[in-house]
Amino acid sequence: MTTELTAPPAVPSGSRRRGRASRRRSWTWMEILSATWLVLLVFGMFLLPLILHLDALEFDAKARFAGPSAEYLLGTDNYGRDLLARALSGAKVSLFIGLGSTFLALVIGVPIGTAAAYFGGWVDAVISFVTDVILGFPGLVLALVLTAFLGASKTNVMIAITAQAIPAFVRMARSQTLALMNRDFVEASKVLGTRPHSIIARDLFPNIADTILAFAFVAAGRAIIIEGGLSFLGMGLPLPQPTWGVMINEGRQYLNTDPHLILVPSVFLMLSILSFNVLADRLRADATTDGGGKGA
Amino acid sequence: MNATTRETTAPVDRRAPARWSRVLRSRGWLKLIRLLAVLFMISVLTFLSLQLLPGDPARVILGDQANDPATLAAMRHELGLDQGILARYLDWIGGALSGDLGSSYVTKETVSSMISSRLPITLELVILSQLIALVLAIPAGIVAAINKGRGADHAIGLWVFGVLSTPNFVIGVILIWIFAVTLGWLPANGYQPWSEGVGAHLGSVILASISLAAAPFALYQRVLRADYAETLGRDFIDVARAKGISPLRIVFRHAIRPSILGLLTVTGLTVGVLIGSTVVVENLFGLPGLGAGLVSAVQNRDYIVVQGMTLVIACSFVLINTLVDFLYGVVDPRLRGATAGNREG
Repeated sequence: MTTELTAPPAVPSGSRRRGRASRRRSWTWMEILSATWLVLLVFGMFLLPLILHLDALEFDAKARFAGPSAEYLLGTDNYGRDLLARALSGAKVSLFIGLGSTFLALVIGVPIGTAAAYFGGWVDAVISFVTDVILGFPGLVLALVLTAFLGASKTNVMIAITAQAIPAFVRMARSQTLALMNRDFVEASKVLGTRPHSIIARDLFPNIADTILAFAFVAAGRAIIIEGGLSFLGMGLPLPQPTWGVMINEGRQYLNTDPHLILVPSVFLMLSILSFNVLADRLRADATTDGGGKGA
Repeated sequence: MNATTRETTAPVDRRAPARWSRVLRSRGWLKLIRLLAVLFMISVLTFLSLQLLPGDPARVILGDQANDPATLAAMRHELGLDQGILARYLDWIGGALSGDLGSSYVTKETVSSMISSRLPITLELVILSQLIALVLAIPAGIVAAINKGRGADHAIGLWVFGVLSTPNFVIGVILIWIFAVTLGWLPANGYQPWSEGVGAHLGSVILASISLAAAPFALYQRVLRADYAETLGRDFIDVARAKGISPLRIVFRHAIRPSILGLLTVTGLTVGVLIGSTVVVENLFGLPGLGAGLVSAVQNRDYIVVQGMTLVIACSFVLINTLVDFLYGVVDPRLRGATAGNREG
């Protein structure tokens, strides 16, 4: 990254970051491709089924294991179901759960982490303790067991994935806030008698927002991996809802003869996660050269 | 699990919070109390998970057979549902501490014997995959750091990024397709014990180990590259060069020691993550480890087994992380009394 000399932000606000946007480095082709893929995926999963009259559940006994053709652009599976339609239907699930649970985890975790760092003392001790306890369960194990006990449904999968993502956001927000706590503008606000919630909302949040947003992209990729893992294990959304994990799992037995059954969902899955990670890297690079949050 | 978080989570907490919590962090024996408290809360949560079941746990576990009042009453008694919740917890945790985690409703096997037969396989996978990840990541990290900003660095970085973005079960399927289906060198799944011969045994676990090693490999490469590049920029390396020490010796001797600490830390912390990843990979490769046991228990609604295995997995995860914290202090005396920084699950 370029070592850009930046004055410490005296008055942190949105305008500071926006004013700097023009000086950021231009987009690399990887970043452009990643953004394009995600945009195409979102439009595709809503529009393509309407335009091409796709049905993810319709059987076609005459076209089992078909290769790509005009009727089935990406071929069909063992029941003659359209792989493109199924992959797009799976995209809805993955993106909905990935982004939804990440958003929920962010909204719940960031205030908690910021409060822990801001108030310190026993608040911090309790929050750190609870975070340690939840992190004692590996992410996928926590999600798997929660879904098992709650029952597999869209809401419960979402709850399970949110639950395993919250501690990471708490830790992120906490460490980012701690790095800011000794800065002059926070001290000044305190001296002026600004109320804590106002300091948190106006001084701290805007300054950790860039880094948290970058982390949210990583977390979204991770949530999609976990959703994929859950449905791969048959513990995701109930059938017949196609998801990428389910498609990969069902395609396993036809790997010898028809690897495209697995190829299609795998490519969708990998490209989506890769895109989130590429964009996260970009956002993080911007956040650290920006002088706002303290980067590594 | 995901390495890209590391750089943003790195700031270590150097600020001293309230007095007693500082004491908690600095004194070894109080750290122990904290550890015990975490383990205690994990056991409570694991125990309470049964309460999440919609309706009467005995009915849910029995399914169709719940209509028989005698069976239902027997199951309720076995689960201790006829007692208060505190008595039930004490009974459960007392049993757990003496190695009795109940028995499977499906197979009638005791949970502890299931765990003790499955744990070695999972541990072997974890150790093998750590070895593979380190053996590949150390050269990849050093080569990338030496060539920082040049073609080799970019090429390795791109490869690592791709690996990082691929779920382990997709990597596993790709490996099966290449080595089992196309080349026919290795079995696609199934487990061969040591008694079947070393070759057969290793052949049955190697693909799973590589799938597990992928994510740690990417993580280690990134960590080592960053630390190593930083070390190469330090003064003492210039001094060593100026003294005429051969570049190879600098690369392999002088620069490694200061750069290896970060790698050691993540290696330890990754052990726990790997235990979590075995859940999917063991299932994919049909290996009878702890993770596969957990999944089949979940699928069979064998909740007693789920509880027992979750407890064992979570406790080993926490204990390993604590051990790493401890070893970190041994390796780097400056950090004694501090924690190893952020742990990413």
